[in-house]
Amino acid sequence: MAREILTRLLSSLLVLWLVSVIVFMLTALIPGDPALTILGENATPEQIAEVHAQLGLDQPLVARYFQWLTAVLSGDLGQSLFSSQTVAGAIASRITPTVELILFALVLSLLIGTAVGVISSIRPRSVLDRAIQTLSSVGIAVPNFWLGAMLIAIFSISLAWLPSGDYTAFGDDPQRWARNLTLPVIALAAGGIAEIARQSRASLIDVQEMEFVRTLKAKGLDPVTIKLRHVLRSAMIPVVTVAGLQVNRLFGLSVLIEAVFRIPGIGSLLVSSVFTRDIVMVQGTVLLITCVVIAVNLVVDLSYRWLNPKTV
Amino acid sequence: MTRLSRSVLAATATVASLALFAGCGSSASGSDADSGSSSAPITVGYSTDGGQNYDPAKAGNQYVSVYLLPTYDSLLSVDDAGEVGASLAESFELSDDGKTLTLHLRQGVKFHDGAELTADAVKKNFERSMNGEGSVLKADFASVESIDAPDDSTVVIELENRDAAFLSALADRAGMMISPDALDSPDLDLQPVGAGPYKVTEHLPGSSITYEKFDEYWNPDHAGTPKLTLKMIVDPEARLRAISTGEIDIAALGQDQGAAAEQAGLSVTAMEPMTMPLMIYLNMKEGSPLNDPQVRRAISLAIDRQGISETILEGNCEPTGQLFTQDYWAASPEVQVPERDVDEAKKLLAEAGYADGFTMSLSAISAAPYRVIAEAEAAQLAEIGIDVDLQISEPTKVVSDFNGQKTTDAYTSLWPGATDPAKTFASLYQPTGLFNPGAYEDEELLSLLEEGRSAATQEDRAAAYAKANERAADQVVQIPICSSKALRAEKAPVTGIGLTAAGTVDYSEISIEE
Repeated sequence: MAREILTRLLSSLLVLWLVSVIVFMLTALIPGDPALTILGENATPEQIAEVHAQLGLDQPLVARYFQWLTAVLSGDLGQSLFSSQTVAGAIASRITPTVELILFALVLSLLIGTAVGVISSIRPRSVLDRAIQTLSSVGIAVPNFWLGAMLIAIFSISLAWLPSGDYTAFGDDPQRWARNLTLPVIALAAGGIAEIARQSRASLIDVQEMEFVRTLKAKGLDPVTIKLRHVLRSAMIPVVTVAGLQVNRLFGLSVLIEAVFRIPGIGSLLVSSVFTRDIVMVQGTVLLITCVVIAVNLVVDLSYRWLNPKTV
Repeated sequence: MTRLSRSVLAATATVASLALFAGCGSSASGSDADSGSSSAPITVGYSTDGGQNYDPAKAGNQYVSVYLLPTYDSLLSVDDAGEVGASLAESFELSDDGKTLTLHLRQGVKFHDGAELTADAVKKNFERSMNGEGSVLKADFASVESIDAPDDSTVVIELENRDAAFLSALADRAGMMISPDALDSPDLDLQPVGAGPYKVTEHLPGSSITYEKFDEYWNPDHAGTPKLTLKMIVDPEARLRAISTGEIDIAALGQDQGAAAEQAGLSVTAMEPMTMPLMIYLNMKEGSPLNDPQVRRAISLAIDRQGISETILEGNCEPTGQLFTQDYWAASPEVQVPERDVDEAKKLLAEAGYADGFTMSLSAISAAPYRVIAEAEAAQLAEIGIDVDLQISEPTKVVSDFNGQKTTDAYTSLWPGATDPAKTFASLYQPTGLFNPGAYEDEELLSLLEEGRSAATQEDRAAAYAKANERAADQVVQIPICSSKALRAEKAPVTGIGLTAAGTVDYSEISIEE
């Protein structure tokens, strides 16, 4: 186990390094000069040259990358090109909304998706099952940002039940916090609910046709106990895998949802940093996201042992 | 699941739903107090974060002024007639030769951190702006030879030569006073410390900034909301949604959003900045067709200014032939609005040797309405045989291509304005100007600009600049299209929103009408 974790950590470091190289080079190569953004419409050639020198933008790309890497290895993620805001500070100030969004969307996806999968698997190929499968396909196909816009149109603009966007911290106003998060969480969770519902349905149907289930039935155990205590646990491995992939997917989708609902999270920080070519901020944010994805994948893999040691 | 646990679950869900939807049907107001009271806090949705750097000496672009004005007062003020007046300096004198400026500071002015405004504080601010790393104000101080503080309330500035624009600069960022105790603060750009009517109490970069009234503000007549929040909502549709659903009190609108806002039942107000034209900036480099005034004249005649204003901008942009509105002090009353004339444009192109037309690139940012405007301009130029390669992209790339790499022939956008016309002229007409990437030089025009800068009186300046505008229009150095209005939507009637001489919206005296 320890050896496996060590191997995984080493390969994770390699992945992190590769991601940092690719993202740095790609961002630096996109046309755009941060100096012009900093200096505005009255910039003179001398000022532009001065800013290039101050920010190291006149140095070779490789040199700039290694300067950044050296700083990161000593614990310094750097500072925005445009202000004194540190990358760590920016991430710290924006991570809570993103974590809340992803966490609630994931929990919602797991709870509702699994429940729908269980219901669907009770009588496979029944009318209810087919209806659920159709809805799942729709849920997977519908773009989350479109769904977000529709939810705003209905619940914010037409019905005026919920706000169309923004974010309030829980400590400032718990009720407003909950109201602000409701629609974005639903928009973000919809695809995940559909995917988990499909996966759990398929997995449950497979497991409940296994011999050990027939044995349990023959022993006289009631169907609900068989389903929830034995079948569900064995069926959860693929579902856990899908849930792990959901985290990666949710991170990507949160960028769009944060834009639609004006949530000041990591996703919107990343987007605005790319648009302004704040390469240092982009690097730091991508590193963070990559670390989270790697950690989640590790947890998912390790959870297989607990769910069913025989499958490891 | 047991019957008891099902009941608990149902009860929990019911209570949670009631708590969540309490207040359903009422707007989620950005204001905490009752509307209709002048003591109500106000939330404004603005269109840009201005670059997220709110240090007056390091904040480059004009739009950041919206965030600076509530919290930083300047030494001087300037009105629409270009006349410079008092502010933190209660009076000033300029010597007859224009080379010595003496400022007499107002007594008892406090900064937000308790420091006092003294001559020494002013000197430190100036030195930081002139010599500090990252300062974007060095050009404003180019004519300054020395700064002296003979006593606590007097500052004497010696200039190399008369520089009329310097006084205007002291009414803008160069004159914005930062607390001397905060000048070395590493996060000054995120936590401004000025002597203005509001102090910054909360700031989430890129998202919102909150100001609260400064109790020790030097001007007892200042009236304004006790709490002002500026939210940065870049997407114009999101801004309109936010005010439609009551999440903000005021929204800055695009010129093409007035009708939609009125349809949503909102009150729409238009202000008229005098120095914010919609432009087609040109790269007039040697060897390019655009280097020829005849070609530029043809392009100008091909553009349907009225059509763009009425069809795309809902009439919120007055067609113009110069950079300023005619009532601006530096404008020319003689410059006429070019009437669209496709036949004349074709004739001019043929006389210039381009009877078969030519190809040019035109860029615009992808945000509405600029993309649509660029498409209209491209279609209009196609009518006279100019094949336009339209390059619509995000702002950083567009600016980099036109101003930085200088690979684009033309760029259509809104000029953000400037407190003094000298700055606008420098950027658009000087060979080193950022918006003159082809380094085009018109000797007569440059001579008039120099005359304006060194003029002894405001009248002389106005006369020189009027002639400069006429020369620029005659030679079609850059192509102004129309003078843009600044629109806003309001939930309830507000007072106190003004425009600076640069055309920047000033929220520093805003309050909701009783």
